[in-house]
Amino acid sequence: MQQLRWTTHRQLAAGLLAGVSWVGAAWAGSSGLTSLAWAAWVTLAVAGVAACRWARHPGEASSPEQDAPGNEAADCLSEASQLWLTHLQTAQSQMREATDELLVGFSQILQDLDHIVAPAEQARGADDQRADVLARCEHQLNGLMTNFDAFVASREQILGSVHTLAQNSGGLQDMAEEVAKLARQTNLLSINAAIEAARAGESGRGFAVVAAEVRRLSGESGSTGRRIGQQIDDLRLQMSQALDCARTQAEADGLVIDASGQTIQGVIREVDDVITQLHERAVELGQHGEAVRQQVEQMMVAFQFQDRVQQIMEQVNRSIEQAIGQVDVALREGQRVDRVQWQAMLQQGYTTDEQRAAHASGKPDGARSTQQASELTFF
Amino acid sequence: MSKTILIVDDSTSLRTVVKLALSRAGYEVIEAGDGEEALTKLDGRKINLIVSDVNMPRMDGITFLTQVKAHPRYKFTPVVMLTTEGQDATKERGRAAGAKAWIVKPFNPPVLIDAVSKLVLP
Repeated sequence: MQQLRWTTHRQLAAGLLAGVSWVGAAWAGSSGLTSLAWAAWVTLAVAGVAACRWARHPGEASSPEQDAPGNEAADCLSEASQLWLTHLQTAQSQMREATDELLVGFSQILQDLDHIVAPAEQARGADDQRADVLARCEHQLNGLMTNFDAFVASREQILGSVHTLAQNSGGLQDMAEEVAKLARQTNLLSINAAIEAARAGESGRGFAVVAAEVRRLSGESGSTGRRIGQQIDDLRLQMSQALDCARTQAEADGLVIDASGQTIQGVIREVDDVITQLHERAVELGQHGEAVRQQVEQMMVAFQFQDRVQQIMEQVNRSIEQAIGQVDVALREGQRVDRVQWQAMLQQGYTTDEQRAAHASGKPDGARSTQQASELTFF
Repeated sequence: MSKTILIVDDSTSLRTVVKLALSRAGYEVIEAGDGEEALTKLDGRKINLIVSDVNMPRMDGITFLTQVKAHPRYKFTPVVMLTTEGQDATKERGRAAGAKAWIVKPFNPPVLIDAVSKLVLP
């Protein structure tokens, strides 16, 4: 009879391990963990039972009750179950903490990306800003060119005045000639007056003095006229040289201004090209940044598996505790386990469809992806 | 002024994902780890919508929902249940308790945002 009960107990223990096995398999399948993880989990269970048996020394005193095979098996199971639960909770804790840290990191990355990646509206704004800056630069530089042109025009006006002055100096030269001519005529007149004064004798002596004075003055007038003419010639020469120099300079200035205008246009084009390239680069970076952002968002959404795994594992923990409790009682008291209650106990606390599907089929159910997800019902 | 949404879920990672989705949609988000904490977080403040899990320690989502609907200030506050539970019977319990929508995890953020935008109080 005792032998029969122990056989039943062993069947119960095997049943318990089988029950725990499919629950664990459901967890492993749902979480996307490999079969290696599940193999390690089962190994832990076997190791727990083995460790219990190994720990009992041959010479150790024991009571008849302790020696009963049912009690020994119950103790082993109890010890193993505690070990399993501890390992499971350790794994849960580590996974939860690691997932939380990863998600916090991803959140930070997303926030940083939000600052780096400009929205499309800002990109369009930057485009308009670029056009505004270029138009303003062109306007200001063209204003500078207008100032140059005005400066050149002003100088040409001055040169025109100088040219007119040079032409008018010809009249001054004629006037100087006239002065010289008058001086020569006055000189001849004074000579004639001196001759006539000599003929008049003593009575013409005073007149001769006047004639001599007139002759001296006419000589000085002639001399002054020649100096005026000479100075006018010098002035005309200088003005002519200045005009030649100014014309040469004006031609050079014109070339410089033309070159400056072309340079300005070239600079504006180059700046436009550089800004365009920078803008295109920024847009490209923005697109890459947006792609990275979407990728990170998808990864964060995928991390929802942790929530499902957590719930499945919590149910497994509770189920193991309850199962061990039932088996423990059965082993110690030599009772049979009610199969209906056993099945109800195993199903108790399921929160996901994967658990129910795995229970029904006895096989791990694939994890729900976010693509299959988001079943939405409005009430 | 942005609208305020209370998220109730015992999973920190899930709350992080939900908060990220709602924050990026322009909502202000308050978090609670279970029903009891959520009731203290309400604290008379204006809440435009609640997103709640079902299976939570201390106080589960259905109990929390029932208490919210019994509260004079929050009885018209829409509640969206976001849970791994997809069984019709559990959904029916949520509907009977006053939930406005039921989303089964894992969720796609656009689906949650769509539901929230349709239900959120002005």
